[in-house]
Amino acid sequence: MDRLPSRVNRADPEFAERKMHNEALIAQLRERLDIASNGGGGKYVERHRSRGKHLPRERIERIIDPGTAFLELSPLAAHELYDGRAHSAGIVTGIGMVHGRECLFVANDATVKGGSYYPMTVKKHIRAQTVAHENNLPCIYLVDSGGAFLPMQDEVFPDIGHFGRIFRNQARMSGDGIPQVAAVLGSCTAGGAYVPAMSDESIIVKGNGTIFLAGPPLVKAATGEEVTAEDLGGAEVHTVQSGVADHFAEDEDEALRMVRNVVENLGPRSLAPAASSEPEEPAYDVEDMLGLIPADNRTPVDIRELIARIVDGSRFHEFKARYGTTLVCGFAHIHGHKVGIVANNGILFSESSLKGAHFVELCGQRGIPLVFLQNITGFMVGQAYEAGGIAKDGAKLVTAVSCVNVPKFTVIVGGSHGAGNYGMCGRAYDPRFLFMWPNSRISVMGGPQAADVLATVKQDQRKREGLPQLEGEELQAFRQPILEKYETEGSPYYSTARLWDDGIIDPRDTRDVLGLCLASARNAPLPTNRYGIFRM
Amino acid sequence: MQHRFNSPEGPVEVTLGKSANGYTLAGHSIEQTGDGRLRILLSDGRTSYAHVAKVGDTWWVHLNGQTYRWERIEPGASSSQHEGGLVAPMPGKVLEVLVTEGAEVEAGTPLMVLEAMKMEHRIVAANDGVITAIHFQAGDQVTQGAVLLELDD
Repeated sequence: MDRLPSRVNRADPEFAERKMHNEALIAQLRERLDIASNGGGGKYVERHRSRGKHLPRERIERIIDPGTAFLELSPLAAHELYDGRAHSAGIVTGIGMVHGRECLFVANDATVKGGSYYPMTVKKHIRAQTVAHENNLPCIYLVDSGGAFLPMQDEVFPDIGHFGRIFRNQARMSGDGIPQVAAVLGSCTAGGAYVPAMSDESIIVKGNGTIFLAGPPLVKAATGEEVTAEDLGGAEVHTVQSGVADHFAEDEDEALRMVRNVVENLGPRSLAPAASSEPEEPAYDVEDMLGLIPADNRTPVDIRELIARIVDGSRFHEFKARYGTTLVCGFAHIHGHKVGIVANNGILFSESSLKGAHFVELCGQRGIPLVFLQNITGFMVGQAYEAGGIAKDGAKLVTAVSCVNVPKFTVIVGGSHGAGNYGMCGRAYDPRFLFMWPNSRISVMGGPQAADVLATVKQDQRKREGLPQLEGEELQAFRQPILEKYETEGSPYYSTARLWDDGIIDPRDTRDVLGLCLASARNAPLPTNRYGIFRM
Repeated sequence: MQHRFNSPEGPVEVTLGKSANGYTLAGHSIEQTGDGRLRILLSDGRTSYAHVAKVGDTWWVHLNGQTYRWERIEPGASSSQHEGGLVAPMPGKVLEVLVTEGAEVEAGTPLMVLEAMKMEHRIVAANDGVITAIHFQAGDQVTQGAVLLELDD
């Protein structure tokens, strides 16, 4: 494959400005991640440690193969929600290697409100299970939770995507041959008790680990029986009498070692066939990305310059390079995995949509995973384009993206707006993973456009009611809150807090993150292609 | 498979053939050994071993006590990016005109900025030349395909 040329000019003052801007964005990201990684912080962490317990990320670190990376998912979930104190939504999820096999971790953080489940905690737990289910990854639950966050029970208990789904998922995954392993490292009360109970194999640690449907206070209230937590549902009870847990660990470190031993005995796995080659670093400096990414999403950037810093050896075999040029499609390798890349280089026209649909089908036919690099303000609008059938051509792209059988991965590298989000495999199109860059924005349309549309609607309404048109300051006062709303809600932090993505990543890490995701995705076999009707 | 290298003696072109357990090159054959070395079987029956390492695009070859440094000449992917003619790529509004009539410009110089679909589109010179006409001013609405300015080379 031939190498992409690069025209980067590092001496350009604009390059320096962009670099400074993007470095500031990354510094902000790092700062927020640091805060989140300390969980409840201060006295909560101290009290936790005084019980011989580790923080959830330290627990995971002790289980994964030494020297391998842990790909944490949505570390900034619940950011600025629930008084801004539910860091990482009180649960750590991600993918790590255990005995050479990618496993999905779900670890409660007891330093955050006792590890109880806020609405976003439930959403994050279920998202992690979805990742495990789609990619056939064994699940490791490190349980240390008081169960549902009672003041918000209406948002965590009854609905389809709520608490009950967690256990249903465990049963269905187990049924699909995906191992479910639990280590009870703290309390496991009420609904939480079902996590180890629904697992294929479980471990409980002496002293700290307890499993019961109702804790001592509730038992006393219900029946008057007085019993200690240890006698009610401790490690001794469950490994000797009840059989709710399988393995007894003297302390937490032993429990974590036992998790490795359990995974070691999971039996063989089969990987989906994939085209691969020897991995190779990009030919151009990955650091350049920070000088290339514009400070303002309205400024276009040649997406090939970014592709050249993501793919192996900066080699790219472009497809239909001269047709529908606002969508760049082509083949490349990422950490040795062959991929098809679909990347925006301007807005979507009919031609670019048709080309995209063709390319997506090609990758489906050849069994090559797809990587979408989203930087899209939308499909082209206007009389000529509607008459040209842009709606049906966009629909072809959406059909192809929805139905293609190969694993899809999406990175939002700039704007993600309107139907462009759909055609480019937004969250609703089940990409196996979706990540955002710190400079990205996501909303149904741009703030100024939304303000214009709503102002026009308002003016028409006033006209019908015989009221004078809004002008000057009045009009500004109408537009301002809309602009502010779109500014706030378009932020990647607003998105990641609500689990619309799997995390915000440093652009320079993109190739490594995608490499881990591609390796994880190979654990699941490919279903067959079944496309819907392409409107012609 | 054809490869091109820069060697100390100048550019070299080699054509490798694939064999059952390695490669062939002009009657000689090369195999990879289990320990990562290359076993080179010359057509006259002699055998030698080489160590190779790759740093960026440079190959370092250690053979018979000598070190050779060869640089791979990468075929560049053809640049599909048309720097754009001097016509509006889509309907929009002229945001800024960056040049004046008679200006001498180099290829790549931004000439005009259009705004459409929430994006700012730069119209850049495809070649060196002189601006002979400017058809629109800032604030003008343009239709797709409208000739924005003229550049003589």
